[in-house]
Amino acid sequence: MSAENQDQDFEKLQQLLKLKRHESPPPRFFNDFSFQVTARIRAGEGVRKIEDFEDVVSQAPWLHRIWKAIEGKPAVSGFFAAAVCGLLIAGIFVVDNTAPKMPTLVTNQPEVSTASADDGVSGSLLAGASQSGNSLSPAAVLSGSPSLFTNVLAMPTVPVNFTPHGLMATPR
Amino acid sequence: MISILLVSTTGSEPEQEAKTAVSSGTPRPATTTNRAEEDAFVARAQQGDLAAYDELVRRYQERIYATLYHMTSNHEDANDLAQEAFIKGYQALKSFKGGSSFYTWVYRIAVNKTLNFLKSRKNRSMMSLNDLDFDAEKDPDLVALISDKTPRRDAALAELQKKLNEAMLKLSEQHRLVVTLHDVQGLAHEEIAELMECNVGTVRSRLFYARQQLQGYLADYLK
Repeated sequence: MSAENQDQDFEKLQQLLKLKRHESPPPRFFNDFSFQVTARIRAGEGVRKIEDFEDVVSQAPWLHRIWKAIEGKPAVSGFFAAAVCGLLIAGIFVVDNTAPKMPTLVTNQPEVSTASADDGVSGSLLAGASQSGNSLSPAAVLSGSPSLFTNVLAMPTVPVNFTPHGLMATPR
Repeated sequence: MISILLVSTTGSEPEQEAKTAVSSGTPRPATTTNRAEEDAFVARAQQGDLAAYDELVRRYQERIYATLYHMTSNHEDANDLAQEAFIKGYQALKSFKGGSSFYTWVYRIAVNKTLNFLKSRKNRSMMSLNDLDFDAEKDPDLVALISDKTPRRDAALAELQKKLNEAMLKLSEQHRLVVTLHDVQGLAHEEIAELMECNVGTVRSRLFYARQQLQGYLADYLK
């Protein structure tokens, strides 16, 4: 059916639709319109900011095209969502399998033995960590190793005198 | 709830002619001078010149408002959406590269904004119709559609206006847009295809389907 025939078929409807051309906004409506727009821009709305997804889409033509392609088509948008989810899961799986093991703080046994030669406490702690295979876990580091306080208690103690200079302490 | 503003019969004839042109929003042919002028205003506005942007708004406010009004059948919504579209246009003006005319570009912003607005509102539409101008009662096409014996022609037209807008709101947004641009605003299929970023065949098929639907809804008024 040609465009001309179509127009003839809908002649009366087109006549009726002409009524909408006679709908006019209130008098002097457009006198203030541009002023209101520029006033809102001056008031700070003109500052460029991305408010929502709609803004992001309108700023990027390629994203706009993708959005238009999938918008309003449930099958296409469902397929697109499934593809995105699939890619995400595949990505996680690949990263999980190829990621290197987390290096421990102490990996070299000879270095530990050097440290233990300098300081008995730290050396034994580091050695303990290397034996447990996980230097990041405090529980693993401390298990089976002597406490830091063991050596502190063994140190000699000297009583402290708090009396200011020039005053004699009065015996009770 | 439906609120409808009825017919006003005030205004001189030249004023009414201007109003008719405004409400239909028929685009003027873009001459080379117009385009060069427009490009100059756009360049100045891109440098932050608000006076230049004000001039651009003045040029296209009527056409943009008219499309949005016919899409929403609500004066207040059309006003808000048109203002927001121009504000957004200013915000994004730096990204405007001049591949199309400024009008086409800002028009797309306005239509996208309106389509999103209509989707978010879904079926909760409320009409707030503009007055019919004085010329409506003299239009021979419209007079032919209402009975000559009707004592109050303005009331009959107002009723017809209400039914027509209700029928328009029953169409999908894309179909309503095509009918608005072609049958109300008088744009050619090619111009609509450019504005809607689709091919002419799609425009024709959408128009045919939309008219069929409208004819069904308005059958009582088209006998």
